[in-house]
Amino acid sequence: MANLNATVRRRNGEVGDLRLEVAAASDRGRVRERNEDFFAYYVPGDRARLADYGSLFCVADGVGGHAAGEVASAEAANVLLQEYYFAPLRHRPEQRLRRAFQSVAVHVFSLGDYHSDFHNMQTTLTALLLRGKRYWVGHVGDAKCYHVRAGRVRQLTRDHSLAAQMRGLGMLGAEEARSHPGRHVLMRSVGVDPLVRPDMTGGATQPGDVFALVTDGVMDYVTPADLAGLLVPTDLEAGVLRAVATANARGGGDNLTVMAVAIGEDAGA
Amino acid sequence: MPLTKGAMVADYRLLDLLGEGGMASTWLAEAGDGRRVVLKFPDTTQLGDPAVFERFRRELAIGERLDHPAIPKALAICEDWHHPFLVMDYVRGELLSEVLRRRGRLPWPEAVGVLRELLAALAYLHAQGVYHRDLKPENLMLTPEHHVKIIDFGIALMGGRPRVTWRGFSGLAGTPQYMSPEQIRGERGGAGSDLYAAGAILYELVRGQPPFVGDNPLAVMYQALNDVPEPLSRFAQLPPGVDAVLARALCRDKTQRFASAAEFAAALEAPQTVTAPEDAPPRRRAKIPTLLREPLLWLLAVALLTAAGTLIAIAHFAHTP
Repeated sequence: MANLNATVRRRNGEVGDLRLEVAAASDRGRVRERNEDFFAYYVPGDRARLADYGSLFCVADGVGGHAAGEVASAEAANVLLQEYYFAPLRHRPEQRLRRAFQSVAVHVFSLGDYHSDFHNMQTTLTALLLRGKRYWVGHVGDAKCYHVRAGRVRQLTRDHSLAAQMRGLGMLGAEEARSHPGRHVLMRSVGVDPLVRPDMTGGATQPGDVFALVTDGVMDYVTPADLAGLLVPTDLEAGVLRAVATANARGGGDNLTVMAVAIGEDAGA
Repeated sequence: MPLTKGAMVADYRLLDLLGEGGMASTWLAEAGDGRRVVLKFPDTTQLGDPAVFERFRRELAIGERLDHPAIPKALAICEDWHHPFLVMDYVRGELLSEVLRRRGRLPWPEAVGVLRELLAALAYLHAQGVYHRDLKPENLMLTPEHHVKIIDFGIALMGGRPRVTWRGFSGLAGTPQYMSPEQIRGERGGAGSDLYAAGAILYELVRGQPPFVGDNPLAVMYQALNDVPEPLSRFAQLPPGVDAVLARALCRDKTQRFASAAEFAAALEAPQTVTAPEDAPPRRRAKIPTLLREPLLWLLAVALLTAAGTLIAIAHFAHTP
């Protein structure tokens, strides 16, 4: 932990009738010169807005020379929040989230097209929306969203990497896919095209649920089971810091970001 | 900073773009003294990676160490510009990929001549402990004197875990049409994969296309893992034994391939002495479900789909205000 250069944020709030806690940590790791990961979230303070739009959390992992990766990930995360919360209320939450992804794609692509320094910049983007007692996940790239419930951890997102695609086609076994060089090859990212097709999934939340948004650099060193063990709802901040520190201690070959959101018991009156 | 014809880059004037991959681009350039050189620039997406400069250093070190007529020298790393680039010997000639594009395919004796020189270069490289890992017609030059030069060692020295998008894949692990099955499965590749690539190049020189082709790289890789190439004798008049030579060179099991570049070269001189690998898998045919082989059933399926589409359209327009 001594060499950890992390950014941590923590917030308590309410999601519908449930309390939630969020903590996040991000570090450039031990090899990369810059941290091209970015995380952002918004939990509306206004109860009406919270009920209508819910809370949105996202992580992004940028790709690009010089500062382009940092720009791509930061722009993607911030524009996603902006576009989601400014979307018309008549759209369903999943529709709003999907359209927000599309706006992000146009924005990042245009930035790269317009500024020669940002040419060909791209980013992953994975977002978790909590509204009422439901969740939705929108996803492009190879960051991961995990769902931990009653000690069981489930990956909600499918990696858009070459290795994952080869595994899906039966060309690689599970162990081969974990070490394959194609695990770092993005098949789908934000910024390469003005159009993007995010994967969408969703379900119902329960008190005690923990969601984790994690960039791929962490998962090279930490297993999903490790992560579930670290992200204890009663001490989420320590958990995200330990996850990042563990990844660093085991190599830290990439930027490292963990954002955890815990759903608490009913808020009551 | 975008690179364009005529631009000055440090002390060099860019003359022509020679090639562009996901990891790097190469340019023909003119030095201040009029000498022609090749400049290699990392792709902009790799500039945040400290391993990029390290790879250039290693490519330079390797280039300085190697001394073979088929291998142009890496001359220097230039650091006096926005980002480092590699300066390499210029080789006059035509890329083998361009030769194939222009001529379609080569007669067997000429193809063997190309392979003979490539295998001699590989024998030298492998003896030095250097493995190319990305041999393909785009990385081979034919001089006006019909000598072969290997012009790009981009991933021969790869280390670390660069972050690339799909366009950078061939710079990371090889080019699917020439990748050995073990490289496709994620192994780093060594002498055996270089010899596999040489076999794939020979196949393409004779047939006019690589052993496996597909709509996308994944389709090519899938075939390389699960299928065997069509015998070359179906496409050209060849000496007896050539099919066995290619079957050995392109065997999915690397232990059944030629053990060395010298053994492969000897097989080319006497193909009739080569036996095909013992466990070469039978050529698979795509399995089409029995039901769909019946022509009448196809007609019925098309008719049903057309009817369904019509009904949906009618329902839509009936409800549209």
